[in-house]
Amino acid sequence: MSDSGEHAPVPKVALAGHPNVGKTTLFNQLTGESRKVGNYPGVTVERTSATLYTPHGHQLELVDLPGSYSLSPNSPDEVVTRDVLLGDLKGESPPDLVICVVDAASLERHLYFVLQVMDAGFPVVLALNQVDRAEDKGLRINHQVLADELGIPVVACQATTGRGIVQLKQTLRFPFPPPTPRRWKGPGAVESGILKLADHLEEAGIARPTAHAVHLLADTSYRIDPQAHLPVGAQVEAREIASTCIAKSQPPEDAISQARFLSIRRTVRAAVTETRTESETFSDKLDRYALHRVWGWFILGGVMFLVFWSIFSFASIPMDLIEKAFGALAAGVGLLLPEGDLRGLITDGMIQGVGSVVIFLPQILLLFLFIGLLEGCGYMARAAFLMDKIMSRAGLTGKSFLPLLSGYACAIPGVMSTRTINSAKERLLTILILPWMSCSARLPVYLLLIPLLVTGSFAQTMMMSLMYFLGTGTALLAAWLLGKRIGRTEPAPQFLLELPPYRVPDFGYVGRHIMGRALAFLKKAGTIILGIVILLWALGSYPKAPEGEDQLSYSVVGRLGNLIEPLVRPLGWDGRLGAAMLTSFAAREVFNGSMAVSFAIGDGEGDNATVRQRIRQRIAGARKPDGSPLYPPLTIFSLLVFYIYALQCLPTTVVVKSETRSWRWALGQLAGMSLFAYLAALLVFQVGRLFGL
Amino acid sequence: MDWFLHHWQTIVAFAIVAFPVAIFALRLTRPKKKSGCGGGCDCEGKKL
Repeated sequence: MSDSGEHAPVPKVALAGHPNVGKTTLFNQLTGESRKVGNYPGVTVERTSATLYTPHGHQLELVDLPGSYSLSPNSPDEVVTRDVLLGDLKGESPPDLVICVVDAASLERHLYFVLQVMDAGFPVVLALNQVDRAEDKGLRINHQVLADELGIPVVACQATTGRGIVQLKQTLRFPFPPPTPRRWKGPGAVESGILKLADHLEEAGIARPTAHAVHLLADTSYRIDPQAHLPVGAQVEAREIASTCIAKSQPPEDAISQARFLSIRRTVRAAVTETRTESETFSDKLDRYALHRVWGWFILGGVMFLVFWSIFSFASIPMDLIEKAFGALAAGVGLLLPEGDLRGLITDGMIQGVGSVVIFLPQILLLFLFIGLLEGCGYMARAAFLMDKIMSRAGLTGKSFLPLLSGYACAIPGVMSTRTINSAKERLLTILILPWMSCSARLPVYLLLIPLLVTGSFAQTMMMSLMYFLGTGTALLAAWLLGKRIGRTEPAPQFLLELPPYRVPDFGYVGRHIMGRALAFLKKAGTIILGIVILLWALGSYPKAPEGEDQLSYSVVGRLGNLIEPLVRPLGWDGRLGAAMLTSFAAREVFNGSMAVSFAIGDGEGDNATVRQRIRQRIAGARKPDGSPLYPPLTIFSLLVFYIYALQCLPTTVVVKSETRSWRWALGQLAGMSLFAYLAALLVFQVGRLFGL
Repeated sequence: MDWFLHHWQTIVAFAIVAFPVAIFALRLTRPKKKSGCGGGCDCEGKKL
């Protein structure tokens, strides 16, 4: 074979396979925790790589390619996989060897992708993952026969338990073997077309000419869509060859896929024996309930309720501890320093401000824990399947479910995970509505304000669920309305989902993910939020009020609040709430710090109440000159509604710009959501007042 | 000296406040790094 790829200084091994096949778990097993995460050049698709040492001490670079069902891509992620495997992605050298990870229980379906990778001209090692599941299904796979039939090494493994990892590493012996010759043969016209086209490509200096020739004939869109790295003449010639084949009743796409499927069937027949007829697996039995048209919804509702109830209930112990620690720290500083500006800055500004945000770390981590566990055990795919029916009414599919659900933790990974959505229209719609999924940064605000409206764990959980319901419901409604205006000519998106079996989650991966989120949150609290609360304290403490005058009203914050008060008054807010809202436009959780700084100024000593209680006491106890509450429940609800809908997160706007490659969409989303939040809060307050609330 | 002893907390507080002010100002005014691959790879054409 004349194909040859460019070689990187350190040999590169790529992990490729269908989505949800266990590639990332295998990657973690092979490399441990030392990973580098970046982007592929020119596109915003994540590139994960790590250094790997073979048992013989050779250093390799292992790259985890985005999950892909075939080399005929349907999403930006799959385009990257195809371009890397064909060596077409500039700035990314092709791998020297590819480990194809397949689900042993669905071998026949996965082998098509393996043949495509082999056809791309790489030495391939087949990692037969989830062998236990295949055994449970009564499938006995003869690895040696499978290896002989395919002409590549085959290793049975179980990525979740580490079974077969050593054997897999042993197959990565350097130097790597040459690529295996093609395992199938097409009809005459197609074969001669491949040869002719490969000669043309070789003359033009294209690396892997046979691989490109096969793919040009096997994939219509690769042949028709402009491919910058291929000579124009090659595509023209490929079209002519395809026309000749069609004239001979041998359409190249059909002929090549039929030849591949024939080869796969022959291989599977030789290597796989069914020891018993198809019987119901444990996953099938569970799915009878989890996907049931009535019970499925009860289970989904129950799971979601349990998640939010746990967030409220279990987190209270660590939250109290954090609160007490910050309280003790403030008290300690109070004992060391006499009364003055520095003590005020440290206790009322820095400690209370940062503490009022850090306190919510346990809840945020619990949310990430539940999302990680639900994803890891395989239930998330079932939830996506159930939600597809609702999503389709909003013009979306179940594919949008996972990004939207990730949005409950943080909008940024949610927006980034929309790359798996193949329809550009659905992807844009999902990005546009995603910030209305109540992210974890909204939790501190909800958790501060909800107890002012209702008491008791059950009522608070219901109220919290209402916040999530309002955000999600409005998002789906907006998707439906926007879908009528954006990309009207695009066909309705289709949803294809492979349900993974139920399994024990990879606790190590979930733990590392949670740890990463915790560190990111603490870093943000210790840098940006600390900086903002210091500034807020200064804005609330200066200029100094003359004797007898209220310090807050005299300060910059007070004056700013007075300035915007006419704008927020129709929402039932006063200038102080307006100023707190303004300060939280870059990051919504700053609202708590801002309120803590505003309300704690001039606080007396000996107050043993916690920061949250003190803010709530101040809000509940604030009175108008006529003695009526300054912040009645309707005002608090209007404030909550504003925080459900406002897009107060600068990093999200930046990521939306990067994903859509357009400031127009990013700024339009920011302006639209801010206006909607204002109007919704206005509506709530004014209608509530009409009803005498 | 008396003035300094009387106002030392205000002076230190101002110094602490000046620190984030300087950092935020620096972040706002420094030239932005261009994202992407440096051009020439057709990525500008690959719009959503």
